Amino acid sequence: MITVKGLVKEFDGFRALKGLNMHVKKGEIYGFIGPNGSGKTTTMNILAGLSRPAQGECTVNGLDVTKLTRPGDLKIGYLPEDPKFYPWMTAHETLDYLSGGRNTGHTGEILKWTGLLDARNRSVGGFSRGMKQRLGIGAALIRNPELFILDEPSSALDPEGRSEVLRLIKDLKGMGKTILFSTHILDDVERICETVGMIDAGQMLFEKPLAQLQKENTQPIFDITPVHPVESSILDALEQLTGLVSLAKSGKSFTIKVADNGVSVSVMRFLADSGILIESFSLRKARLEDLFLQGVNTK
Amino acid sequence: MKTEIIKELRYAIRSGRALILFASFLFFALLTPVMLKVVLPMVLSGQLGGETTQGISGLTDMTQLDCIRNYMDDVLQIGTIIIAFTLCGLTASEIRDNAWVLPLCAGKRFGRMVGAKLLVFGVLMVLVPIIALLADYGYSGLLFGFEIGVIPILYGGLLQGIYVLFLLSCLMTWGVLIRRPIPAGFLTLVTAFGIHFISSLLNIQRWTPSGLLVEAQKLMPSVTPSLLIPIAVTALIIVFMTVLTLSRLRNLEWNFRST
Repeated sequence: MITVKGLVKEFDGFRALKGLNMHVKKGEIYGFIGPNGSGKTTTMNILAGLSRPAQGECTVNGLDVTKLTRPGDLKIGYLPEDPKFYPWMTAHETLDYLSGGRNTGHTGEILKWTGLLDARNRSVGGFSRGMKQRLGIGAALIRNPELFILDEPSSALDPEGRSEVLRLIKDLKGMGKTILFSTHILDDVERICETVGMIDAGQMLFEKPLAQLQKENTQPIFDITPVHPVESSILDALEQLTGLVSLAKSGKSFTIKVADNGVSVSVMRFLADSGILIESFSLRKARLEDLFLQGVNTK
Repeated sequence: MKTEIIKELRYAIRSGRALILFASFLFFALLTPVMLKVVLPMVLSGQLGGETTQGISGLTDMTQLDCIRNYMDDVLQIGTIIIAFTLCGLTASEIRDNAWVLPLCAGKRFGRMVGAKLLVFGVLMVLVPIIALLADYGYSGLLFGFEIGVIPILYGGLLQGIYVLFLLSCLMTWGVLIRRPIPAGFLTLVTAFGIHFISSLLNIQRWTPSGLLVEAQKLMPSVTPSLLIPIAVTALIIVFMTVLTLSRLRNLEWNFRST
């Protein structure tokens, strides 16, 4: 759906993008992450046809973005970071205006889907940030495009608003749409994305399926919570187990790092033989936040 | 283009722009006859001491035609300032506030967006001077007695309206070029008054939009050949400015962060 090769963008001599590469497959939810000022919005503006790159190839929906004369030619759904509506228009009038007066039935469906049906005759100027974001996603759907580019759709929203926006994005995925969205909230990416791309200082640090990324970075660390506190003599004996690298205690829980996952069997057997009742025994997954910080710090 | 026109109509009404323009022009249209018939003689009688208001009125020998021309002079000065600052955000604010990002991504065309603005505010800007001039004509007729027919008034109002269209295209072009509402309003004033001043100085008013105002003040009962040059020149300037506006819009980058 989106192919970007060697994308370069400059602002008054400052290189915001330094040869960015990116590939978004049809039907996936792609999470675009990166620190502030890394070039996320600049990239998305170019992908939406709102800005022109200095160099590089950029194909969106099969169209060469660098040769566009109007952003609307791309036939994508775009939601800017801070969507600006006419405050004196109602939600219904806004969607009607953006649709060019065509298919008013579709406008009604969108208002219902975004949960704004009851607020359809209220001025957008009085909408909360969450309502504006939902209206923005609805506006992006107005031409029923195949591809959605959403710039930080869940930022600055309360948990309820975030959850609602994520629901809308998942619904879009359910409709068979492709979604590229940027965010600072890594938990959102872990909840709904299939592929993750991380940008820093105008370059792509990594771009991988989320599952692969988690698998590659999973550490052989187990978090164990017993039903009752474990005696220190048992923990000392556990620490002597072959293949166990380290043990750290925190309250009644303890964390063990092992040489490989197979050691977990010996650990479970040892605990069972010692008569320890286990409340939970879980392999710690690699958190995107750790990878994010690791990526930024490595740079 | 229907939705774009409806949007501009809603904006004109809900933002109060249409009301401000109508009210301002009507205020001056109705104030001028009162000023000339009542206030001016009272002021002069106070200064000349002893002379009655009726006597002063006789001395000034003001007629309906003088009253209308007085108002038309005021409209050039105050009306231009009111229009410039009431409509200075027509394009500048929308671009600066990124309000065109969603419409552009939804497939709206620059030509239609600009065209709708020109059409709605253009019609409004032609109607406002005509209605105000008719009001001035009616009221001054009641105070001074009717001197001329309504046809020259309609012609005069129409010519003023065409001149205001020139102001509108100036506002839109400056707005797109500098993307700041108040400076766009100032530059429109500089353009309009600059052209008026220089053309008066060089006596070339008929070759500039200011020629329309000169012709309007003549209050001729029919279209005269001398009208054709300023109308053609103004139309050419409006077309040039619209093309410049569209060309600039096509080369702009959108969704930038405001500084």
